Amino acid sequence: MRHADRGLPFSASSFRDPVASTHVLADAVFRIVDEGFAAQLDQALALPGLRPFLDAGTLIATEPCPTAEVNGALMVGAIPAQGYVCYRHPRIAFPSYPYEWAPQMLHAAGRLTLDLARTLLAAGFGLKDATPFNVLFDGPRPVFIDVTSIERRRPSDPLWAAEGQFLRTILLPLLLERDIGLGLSALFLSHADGIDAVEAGRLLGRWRMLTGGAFGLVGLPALLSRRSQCQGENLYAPRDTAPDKARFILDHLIGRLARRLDALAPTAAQSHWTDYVDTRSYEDADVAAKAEFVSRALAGSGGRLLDVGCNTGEFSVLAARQGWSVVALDNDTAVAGRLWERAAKEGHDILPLVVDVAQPTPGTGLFNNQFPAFLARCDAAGGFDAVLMLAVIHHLMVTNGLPLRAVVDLAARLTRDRLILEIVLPDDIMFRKIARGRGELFAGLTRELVLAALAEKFDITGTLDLAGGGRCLVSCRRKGQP
Amino acid sequence: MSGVAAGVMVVFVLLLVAPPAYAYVDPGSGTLLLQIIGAVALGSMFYIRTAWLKLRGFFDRFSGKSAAGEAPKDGSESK
Repeated sequence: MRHADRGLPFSASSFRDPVASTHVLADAVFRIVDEGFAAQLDQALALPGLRPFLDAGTLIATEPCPTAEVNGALMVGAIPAQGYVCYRHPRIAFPSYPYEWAPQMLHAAGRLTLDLARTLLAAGFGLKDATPFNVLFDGPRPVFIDVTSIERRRPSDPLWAAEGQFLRTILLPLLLERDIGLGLSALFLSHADGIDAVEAGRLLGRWRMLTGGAFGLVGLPALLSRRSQCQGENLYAPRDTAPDKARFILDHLIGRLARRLDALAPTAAQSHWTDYVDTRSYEDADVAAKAEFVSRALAGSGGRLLDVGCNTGEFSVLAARQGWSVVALDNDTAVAGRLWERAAKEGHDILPLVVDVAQPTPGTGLFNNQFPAFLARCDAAGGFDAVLMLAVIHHLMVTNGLPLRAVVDLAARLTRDRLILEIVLPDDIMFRKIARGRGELFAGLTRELVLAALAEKFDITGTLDLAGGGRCLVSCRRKGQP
Repeated sequence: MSGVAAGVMVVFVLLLVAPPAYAYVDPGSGTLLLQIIGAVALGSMFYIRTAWLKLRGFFDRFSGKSAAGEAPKDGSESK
């Protein structure tokens, strides 16, 4: 029986787990665990092999806490004092999901999962499941959050039941992204539990699934799926062998998965926007003036910042260097992947996500609330302390057809204090490029019109004209801020 | 044609004539079957490795005894 069926509070984020439930609150995450399972969880978390993961922050910190505290925090009295053990985790600042990740991030989540599986194997433990939804990103760092996925293994079991899930949710999505350009958002929004070999084979085509790494990952499992029907229930019967032999087999299995993951490591992809810094239409003096304006507008504070349309991320990096914790959005997978690589390498507190702010990620899973929508996550965090919308509102208005008022409303919803935006006017060459002959639709769009629309919700604190008046930087604060 | 080449040819032919997949087929079954086949193969490797380690241990002990029988070269052993 699941926890909810035993009278404990229901949680959309963990309803499948038979031994635990997780409750996410504004400032903490509580986990309620069956007493019997908690004993082995405590043993696992005390393993010396897991210490490096905890120290590096790649395994979520887990502290026991009194049941009364959880009852108080959840405002229920439903958790009995006996039979359950409660734990507290820190909250990850901004949860994100595989359909918002660049392939590099899925690869990093897969690497972390295998590193943990191998470490646990050496200590007689294992992972029950192997889905990237067990991982969140704290800045560019992957964090394994599902500690109740860790369980003591049956020593004589030579199989890892989660291998199929690892293939469906990590290796095959990476393969399909590499070989046919299937984006992670397209895949995971329609296939939360990944894609099986048979369907992957249909997408790849019969010849492509026979070549290179695809044969072992797609061709052979697809063939065996069709042939395995004759095995019936016998296929799923528990297997037993000598414990040292079982460990030898599993160690090789994890090693083979790691090699396959390495072979699918995403390379820095090119896109129209990856070279934007080199090809943009600005003069060098304007670039320097823009950086100075943004830097000044962000000075003296710090907090959580959302960079909408981050592109190569030069202003995300600028903000991170000034102490801001940045979530950087772009709908171009290639630039988000490159920014993640840079943030991970240089240690910037930046979480790049592949999100189109004009069509933000919907809520998915049970009740559309198992994995909340992008804007719901922004709202849950009380909005960001600052939002950058640099040279992006013309994309929202021209490409996505948003009215100016909707752009301002969106900005006001995302930030609770500062907004720094760059207005690109119809005379600018980049505006004309994306307008593609529809310039007359925006003939009345002037600097003054945008400033007036902003002034309904914001106090303008500064402006700077660039590119001979074709662009204008504006800094403002939500009305009512001190 | 070698055994390996014949095996590859059989797999190719099976793939080309494979029947369409049906929704009721457990999507993970092929992966599980492949893992079981791999486990059997690795199990054989495990026995070969164990036998090899025992054999090497035997020779190491043998050569270790010979080494122990030699007088230390620095002459530190007391009479």
